[in-house]
Amino acid sequence: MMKRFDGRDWNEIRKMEAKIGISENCEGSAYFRFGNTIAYAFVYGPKQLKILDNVEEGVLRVRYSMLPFSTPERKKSPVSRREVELSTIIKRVIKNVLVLKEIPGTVTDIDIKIISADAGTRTAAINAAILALADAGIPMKDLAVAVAVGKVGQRIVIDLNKMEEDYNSEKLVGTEYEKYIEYYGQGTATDIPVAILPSEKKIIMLQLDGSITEEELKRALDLAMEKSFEIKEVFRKAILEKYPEDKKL
Amino acid sequence: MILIPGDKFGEEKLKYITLVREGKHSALKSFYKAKVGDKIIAKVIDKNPNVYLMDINGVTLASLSVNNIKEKLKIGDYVLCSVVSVIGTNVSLSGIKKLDGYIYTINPYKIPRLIGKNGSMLKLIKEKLNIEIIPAKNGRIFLKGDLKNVMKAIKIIDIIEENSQVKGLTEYIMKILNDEEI
Repeated sequence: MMKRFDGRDWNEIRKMEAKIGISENCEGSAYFRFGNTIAYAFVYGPKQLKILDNVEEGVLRVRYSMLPFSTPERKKSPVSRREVELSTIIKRVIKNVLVLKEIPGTVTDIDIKIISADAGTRTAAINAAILALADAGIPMKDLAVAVAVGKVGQRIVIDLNKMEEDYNSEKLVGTEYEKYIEYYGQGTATDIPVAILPSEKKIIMLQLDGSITEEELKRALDLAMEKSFEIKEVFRKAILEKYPEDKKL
Repeated sequence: MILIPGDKFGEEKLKYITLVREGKHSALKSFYKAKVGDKIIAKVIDKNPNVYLMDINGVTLASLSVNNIKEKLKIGDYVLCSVVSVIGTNVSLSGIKKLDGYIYTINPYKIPRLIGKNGSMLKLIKEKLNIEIIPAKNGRIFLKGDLKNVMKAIKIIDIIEENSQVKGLTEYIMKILNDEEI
């Protein structure tokens, strides 16, 4: 039986790891990992907004950044266009999760650092940010989870890594990876990061990069929905680890 | 039992990491939001002829009118206050008294655990160590007495804050208070 590039099944997520309360210098902090993609998130606030207008909702400030050593080739430090775009996307997701009406006139800073990138950084970033917000005790509707699904060649898979994201069957001919064409099929890759509210079974973010048919998209989203509960259990485990009830005193 | 945001407790959907015990639920960690009638410990951070600007360890700042307190205050003083009104982000206070002692800050949601059922935990610490303790709703705790005993109390408060969700905490605190050696 053939497996994917890194030996996973089509519906298997990379090894996940989560931890909350990793820093004492901020209100909330968390760490989340999908295989080789590692994200840290720190939450500062809520604190008073300087301009005292009739602000009915809390204000969010999100900063996503990839550190220079996160990619195989050194990334230049200035804030790139991609980072600005991803910060905005993550902010929109978080806005849908938090109950901002309960913290009027305040501002909350969320700082996300990617220290190692191997595709799926935005999903890992969202997961880390949501955990850090829960750790800070900011009211939220649900612990939202994010995961990437996609079509590699002709096959629907979950949680793509960098090699799958760059998949192109024509370029693989004649290389050591030629045998994988049999498993994935002809064609290129389509990456679909989604964010889900598991308790309401609602999709709150969907991005699509590539081409896919309607029927395949439905199958991919069903897969993401099914797997979102698995990720939420990882979240629950991380929280219970911080607050052990039967600890020996 | 510990529940996470999105879990249901009866009909209610939880918004925080929540501890459920004996049919009651409370958030384990969050920030302080001023409510009318709360007794809090505030710190003077700025002043002008009419009003003191106060830090209440919460999401907003507060103001204390000069007419509402007998003593004259300096920047950096701690004052026991009660919240008079909350309109939007404007919180106004009324001073009760200026505090002269040690101030220690913990997460506001751990204060009920420090007080205990009908004040049992607080009474225990007060009696054993023979010091004055005033826990305020915004997470600040006022301690006064012999420095050695105050340091002991702070160590115990740290243990309570870190292990507030653990079962059998009161018995453990009682044990270490009787041991003397902390």
